[in-house]
Amino acid sequence: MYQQDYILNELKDLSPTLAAIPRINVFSVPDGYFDLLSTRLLIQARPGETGEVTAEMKTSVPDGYFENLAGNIMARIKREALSEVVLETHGVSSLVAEIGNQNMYKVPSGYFQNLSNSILAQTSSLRAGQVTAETAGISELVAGIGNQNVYHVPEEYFAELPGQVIAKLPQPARIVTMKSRFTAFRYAAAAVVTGLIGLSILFLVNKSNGDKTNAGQTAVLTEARQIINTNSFEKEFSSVSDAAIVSFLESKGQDVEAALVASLTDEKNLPDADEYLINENTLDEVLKTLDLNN
Amino acid sequence: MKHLFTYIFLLLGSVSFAQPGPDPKKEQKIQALYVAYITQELKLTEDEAQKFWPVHREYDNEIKGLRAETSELERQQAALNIKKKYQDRFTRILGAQRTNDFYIKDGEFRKKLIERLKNMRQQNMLRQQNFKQGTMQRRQNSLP
Repeated sequence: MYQQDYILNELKDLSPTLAAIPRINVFSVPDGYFDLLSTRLLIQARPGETGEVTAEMKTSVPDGYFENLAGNIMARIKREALSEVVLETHGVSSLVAEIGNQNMYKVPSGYFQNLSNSILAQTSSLRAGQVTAETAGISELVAGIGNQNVYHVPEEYFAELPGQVIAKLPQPARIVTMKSRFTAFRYAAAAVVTGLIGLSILFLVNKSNGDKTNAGQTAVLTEARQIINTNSFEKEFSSVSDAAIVSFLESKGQDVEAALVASLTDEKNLPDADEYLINENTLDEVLKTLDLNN
Repeated sequence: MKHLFTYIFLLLGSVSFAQPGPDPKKEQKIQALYVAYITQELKLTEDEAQKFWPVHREYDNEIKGLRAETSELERQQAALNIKKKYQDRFTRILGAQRTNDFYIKDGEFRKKLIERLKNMRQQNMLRQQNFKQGTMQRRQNSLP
């Protein structure tokens, strides 16, 4: 309140006229103004109609007005357009104009259901005469056949056909099943062949060795006879090498080193049995004395 | 087929390498000495020699085949069996006494060979000792 008085006093200082105006809202609209605003605007949009709003319009709109509004607008547009079309059609052709909106293109009922059959019937009737005449010009025999199906087969022809074809086929060759080649069999065959070859080679080698042995035996006997005849045994014996003696004795199964020990040792010169137990080097010393390791 | 040739080559190799290879000439020389020794000791006639040595060759081959025996006892037993086996055949050629003599002379020839071997090795040892002593003596003499 204090602030309002202050503002009023200040306004009085500035403009007493304005300050004298009572505090009344001058910017008011009649009651229901905004409720009829849309209706008023529509009326104003219609050409030729006054923008006055009747009392009835102020109060209400007809029932179903807005529901039928779009339909009414479209009907009015059509009506206006139709009138223009009719006038234009009359200008072009009065006959067409008289027809109006009637559907001129009617077909009998069931027309499309029978259309294909009727077309084929008409085509065949029309073509038959032409084809027959043309065929007769080429060959009267063929023309005489007409539409008869000359390609017919006896009954059960195709049912019996496979049997007849198979019966006429040449007899198939006898199938001989090949035995599977086992790997073991192949190895066995290879082993047999190898064995035969090996035995043959062994036989040849043995035969060759036998021949050599016979020849060697003959040579030995000849040489022995020569030794006896020349009385050169001692001379030849003294020329025998160490290796030849060892080889000969070993071929007879002789233990050469043991025989050498036996020949070298004189039991009287050997140590007593107790000495081997007392001194473990006794045996080594004896062997060293014999010196068999040459 | 490739494996077959491999087997054949392996077999050929084994056969060829399996052959023993003593010096044939040395073997022949000592064999000739043996034949000459036995022939002279047993006083074999030409006819007896022609019969005896083929049988002896069979006997000798069997004795040589004993080298692979596992133990000495078994080898000696097998050798005795072979001697018994050939006893009759030798006896038919030589008679019982000379057959017995053959075994004795066979052993004596081996003893001669062993004796020869022993003498050769002892002589060789003496030569080596003399060589060592000579070498040492020369070294001592060369010292100032």
